[in-house]
Amino acid sequence: MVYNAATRKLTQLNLHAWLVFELCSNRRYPALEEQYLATMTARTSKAVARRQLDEALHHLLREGLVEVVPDRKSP
Amino acid sequence: MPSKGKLDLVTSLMNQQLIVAPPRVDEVQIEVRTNGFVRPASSMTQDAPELLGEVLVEWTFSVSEADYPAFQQALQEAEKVLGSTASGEPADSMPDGVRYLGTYFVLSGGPSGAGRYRTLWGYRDFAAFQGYSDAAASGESEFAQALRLLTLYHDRTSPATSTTTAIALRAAGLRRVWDEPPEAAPRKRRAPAPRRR
Repeated sequence: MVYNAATRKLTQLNLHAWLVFELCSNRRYPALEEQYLATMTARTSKAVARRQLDEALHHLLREGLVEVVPDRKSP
Repeated sequence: MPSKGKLDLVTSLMNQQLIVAPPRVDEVQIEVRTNGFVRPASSMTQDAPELLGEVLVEWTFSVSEADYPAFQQALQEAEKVLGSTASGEPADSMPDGVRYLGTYFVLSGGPSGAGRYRTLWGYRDFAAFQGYSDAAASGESEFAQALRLLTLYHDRTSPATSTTTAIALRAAGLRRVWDEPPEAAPRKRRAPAPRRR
């Protein structure tokens, strides 16, 4: 269960979505994807794993549980 | 900051799964059911001893079936003064540190031969006991009248037993019950839930 104080919504994640949620913490997308695939490709193909990652990110973004932070540009 | 402990935990749980279900993210629909009245949040919800009181008193009694409608009516009138979750906040005439916690009907269980009704009282400390006794004895006060209404239909001829039981919150310690009320402890503040970025 995740409570989003901003939207005041309670959201239930299954184990798979929880993994992606945890991986989102302060990671750039390539690192996130790499670690996710390392966990998942022992049991599924890379293509399926990538699709499921996209799906999980889509859901998490939709619920406002993760957000994309633009890269900081050097001055 | 990545929470490595949680990540390790969820990875370990994932590795124990024979089949991994596709990711699911579902909003939980929160449903709040009340009888239309919600007690305002106060220190009572944050400080357990104050929730019910450090001493609870339970009246066990019977009401004759023929008196049920009249008893119900009397209860509703009394609770306008005593306060209850059904009728609202207690009147100002309630003695300090005394809380009327409601009158209940036992649906199942309980000691055999005991009356089927319960009235529960919460007392903050011994001083509240004294205050209750004084207020109850004060004849025409609003509180005394409400008490009379509350007990008007107690069936003292019933073979079912009527008892008064007092129990003290052990964690608070008896010394605290008999002493002056303690200073309210400072409330703990909860840190806001971290937002993922």
